[in-house]
Amino acid sequence: MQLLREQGLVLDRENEFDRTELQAIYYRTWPDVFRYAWLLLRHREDAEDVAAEAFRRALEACDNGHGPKGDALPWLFVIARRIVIDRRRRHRLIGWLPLASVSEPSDPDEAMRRSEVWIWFDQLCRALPEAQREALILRYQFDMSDAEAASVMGISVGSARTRVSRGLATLRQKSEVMDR
Amino acid sequence: MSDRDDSRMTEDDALGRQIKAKLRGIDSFIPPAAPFAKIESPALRPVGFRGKSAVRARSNLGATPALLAAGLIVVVVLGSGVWRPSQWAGAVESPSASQVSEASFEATATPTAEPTAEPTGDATAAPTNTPEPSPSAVASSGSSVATPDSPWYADEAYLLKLINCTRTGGWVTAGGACGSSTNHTLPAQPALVLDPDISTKVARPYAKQLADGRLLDHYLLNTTPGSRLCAAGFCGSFWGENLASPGGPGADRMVDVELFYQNEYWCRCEHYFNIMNPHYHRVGIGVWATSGIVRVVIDFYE
Repeated sequence: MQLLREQGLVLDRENEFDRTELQAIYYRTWPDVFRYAWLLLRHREDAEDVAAEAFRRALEACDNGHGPKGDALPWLFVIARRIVIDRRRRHRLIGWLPLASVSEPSDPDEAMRRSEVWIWFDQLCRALPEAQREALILRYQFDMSDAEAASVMGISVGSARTRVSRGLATLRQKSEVMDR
Repeated sequence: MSDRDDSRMTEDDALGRQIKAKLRGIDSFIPPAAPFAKIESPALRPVGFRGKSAVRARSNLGATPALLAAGLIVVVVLGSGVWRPSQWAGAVESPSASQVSEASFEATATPTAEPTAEPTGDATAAPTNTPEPSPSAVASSGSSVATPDSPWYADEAYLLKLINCTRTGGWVTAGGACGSSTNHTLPAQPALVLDPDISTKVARPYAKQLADGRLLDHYLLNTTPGSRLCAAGFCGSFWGENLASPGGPGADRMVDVELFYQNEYWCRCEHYFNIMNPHYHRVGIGVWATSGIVRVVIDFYE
């Protein structure tokens, strides 16, 4: 976040929108948006789709004069998060359908499942409620402030802070997760 | 960082740093960003299809410049419809992308119940499937939005006819006729029935909102198509929405819109997908123009 600010990679609604600006932000923040979607969805292909769709909507919003008021990253996360939620709703609905893609093995995903970090993340997911997990990820993985994390999750700053501290408390209790 | 509780900073941060360090493990699996140009061609990106979709989108660019030049912008579709072409297993699992354009509808739709001959007479038949709002209803209300007699009602009715031409297995031609030589990659479905309530309570007010605000977005004011439908009493599980921003009102522009949707047959992208989705039975259509800014909202419903 700080890096974005320092490099001037922050959109300002007062300024006339410049596509090259978003382009620069796109290349710089793609890994973050992808990682965020991935951690929420735990599915690589879906995360790729969500990240691409998020930037497409961001571009559209900027073209329509609805760019971010401040930092671009939390704003992009809000967009990505909305897409994730929408997809989840759909996935719940299609859960009963015999979809070929469900059993279809995918090499990168397979690699991820075998990888150490994913096994650890699975443990983290089991140890923490989703809300706390997301709060911790935003705070520590992405170095967001409480206010920024709250804006992404659409909750108050106090609630965001509570989620982080409860998440940390849970992790301290379940020390086996972090000791792994 | 400024709003942190400093007293617990060190302890929390140590744990946070651990989390961060562990999560860094996934970074090597993060793919590089696709070229920005891919993000810049919104309407052509088949969101719901993976893998080769981007390549397909590129290869199709040649087919649409005329529409784009006409000032037509179509926004992504949204839907909750739980339908995938794979439900038809071998029946319509169409040929590979390169063959799709050559595939005739007759060849792909044979196993389905809908005869392909049906749509040929559709130019007059389709409207009979739609309950026309009664003239009394048209005349009764003074409100500009909540009545079927919107100034663009003729466009809405015409667009429905075009949609139903495609849906029932026909193929809208550049002149607006309903031809029988098609490129369908999904089987024909019974015509959609216009639901005047969905038009007047959901689609048209939203089209007005979009036109007034010069916007093109499924999620205005934190709503979704599903939430807007539900607010009007349509709380079912299956819904979808197509938006469009044609160059103007009028029959020709409605043809542009439908051709744009129809032209997604090759990827079964989401506009075409919504039109052919068997879970939908009703539809509400809203067309609105505010000082030359035209918005089309099509809300599909179970």
